[in-house]
Amino acid sequence: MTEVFFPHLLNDEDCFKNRFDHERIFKIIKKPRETMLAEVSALSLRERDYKAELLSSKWAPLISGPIDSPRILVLDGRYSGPGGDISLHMLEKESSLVWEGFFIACYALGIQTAYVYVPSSETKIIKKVEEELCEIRQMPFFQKLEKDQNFSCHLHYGLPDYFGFADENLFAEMNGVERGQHALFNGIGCILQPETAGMISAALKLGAENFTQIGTNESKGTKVISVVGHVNKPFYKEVVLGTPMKDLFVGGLHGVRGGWSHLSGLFPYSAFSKSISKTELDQLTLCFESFKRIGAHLGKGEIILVNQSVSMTSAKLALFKFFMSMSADKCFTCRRGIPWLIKEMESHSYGQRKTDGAMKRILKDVLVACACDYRSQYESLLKDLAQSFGDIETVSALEEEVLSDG
Amino acid sequence: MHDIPPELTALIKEAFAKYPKGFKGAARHEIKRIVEKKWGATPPFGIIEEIAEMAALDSHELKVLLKKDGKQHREERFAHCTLSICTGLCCQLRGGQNIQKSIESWLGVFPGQATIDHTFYLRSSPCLHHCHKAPVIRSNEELVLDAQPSTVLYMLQKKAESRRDRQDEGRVHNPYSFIKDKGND
Repeated sequence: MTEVFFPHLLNDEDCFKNRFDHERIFKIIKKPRETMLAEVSALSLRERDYKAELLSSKWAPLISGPIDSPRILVLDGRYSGPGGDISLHMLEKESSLVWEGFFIACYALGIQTAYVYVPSSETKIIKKVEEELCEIRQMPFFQKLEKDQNFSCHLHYGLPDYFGFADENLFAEMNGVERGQHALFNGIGCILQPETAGMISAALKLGAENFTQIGTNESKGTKVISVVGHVNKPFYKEVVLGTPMKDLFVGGLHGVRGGWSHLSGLFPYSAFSKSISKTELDQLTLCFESFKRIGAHLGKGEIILVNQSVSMTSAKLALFKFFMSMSADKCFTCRRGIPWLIKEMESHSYGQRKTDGAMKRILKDVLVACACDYRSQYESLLKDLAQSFGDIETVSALEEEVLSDG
Repeated sequence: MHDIPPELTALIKEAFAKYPKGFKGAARHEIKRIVEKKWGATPPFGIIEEIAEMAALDSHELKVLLKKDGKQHREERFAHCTLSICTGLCCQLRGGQNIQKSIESWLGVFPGQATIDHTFYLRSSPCLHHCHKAPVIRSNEELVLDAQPSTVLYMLQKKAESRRDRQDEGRVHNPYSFIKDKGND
């Protein structure tokens, strides 16, 4: 049984021209829509993002929503954060599978308008997507979709910067309004990650029975990961879900600089999740549920490795500086809290110890007032900082206090 | 009033047509790209209003967006080459700090400053989106991937030389040329 669905991740070959199977999609869209939905649900596939929802539950609002409101699907190619961009890489290298899965989803969900979101600074990918879309529009399956469900597909030029990882952020960015609007163009919007789209197509080819045998009980299939930082050579790789993390980074080109014993820790999901120490990594497997168990997210799969040549505190400091420039809402907590944290962490990295009063205040602010998507990130980094100060009891006491206040 | 070329009008209308009524602002990044391609960072007066009219948009909103980066430093506008150094974690872990130090010492300026002849403007950027090829430097629109201090300094030297050659050829106005002329007389 094959365990590799994306064999062209590192090739420069024109995947679309050689492999895009439009006849297969034409056969698929002749099937009843309910059958297609049932086939996709039988895959037990999870979305490759921070929530890692099952596709059947993620698509539920679209399936059960009112018939008269427009249904919109967005293929999400936005920048995901430091640590590589798997979505854009998939669009570039495995476009044939991504397009196949995307149009299968469009058919199964009865989508009227579909958008492919690409940052406007990515000129190479924009050109590629435009050319491929032009070709696809001439294909018989697309014309059938146009005729049957009034379907149209466009390229959306997105913001050339980070703006958050939640679905609502993407909707707000596309709507061109301030945050807070959760519907897309007054219709029912849904987001599909390019990796998930590619996986749908590949898994349907393999069949649900064979596909569900790959991976763990809760996470089926494989996951594309991107590893950067203190690694011998940064890489993209497809890994079967459930593989021990230690096996990924021991030796060779994909090994940690200086060897596994020199690893200090890693930042999963473009550092939007809590950091994972080496001791935790020894027991960890690469799957959504095991990451969740330790309070982290695997997300899209971007991983930043840090070895012992750099302290984790200074790595977090660099991350905070990044967050300072891109906080989602620029709200009071971020504006006041992050500069303070940077100052505090800098003094900590030089071996000075300050009073904890200010830290307690900021932590309380974050726990009570922080409402944006970065809350969990700040919270985890604050806890890490408190842990490095040796104040973990204070943090848990504060948390209890805030929770009891409701 | 300006006449927008018909091919450009078609492109702009096509961009607006992608979105439903009331959400035409979603095309702003595409419009920005079209405008920048034709007229550069500063489009002629009146163009934005005309484009906004096509989609019944508020021209002020479009104007704000189409203005080249609002945070752009005054000195950056006059600089021949803008150097952006990535200060993201991935670049720093792979030697980005060494590159920053070498550039700073070679140019004699820090991020946010321009050289005295306005050839280079140095800025630090939170992330340049090429973490797999870290460390990364961007000079104007050109990316230098897997950068090393020696390669970056060589590139800067070449740029400075080409700029000096252009000045010598007289293609760039030299405000002190009259002093040289007096000396010759």
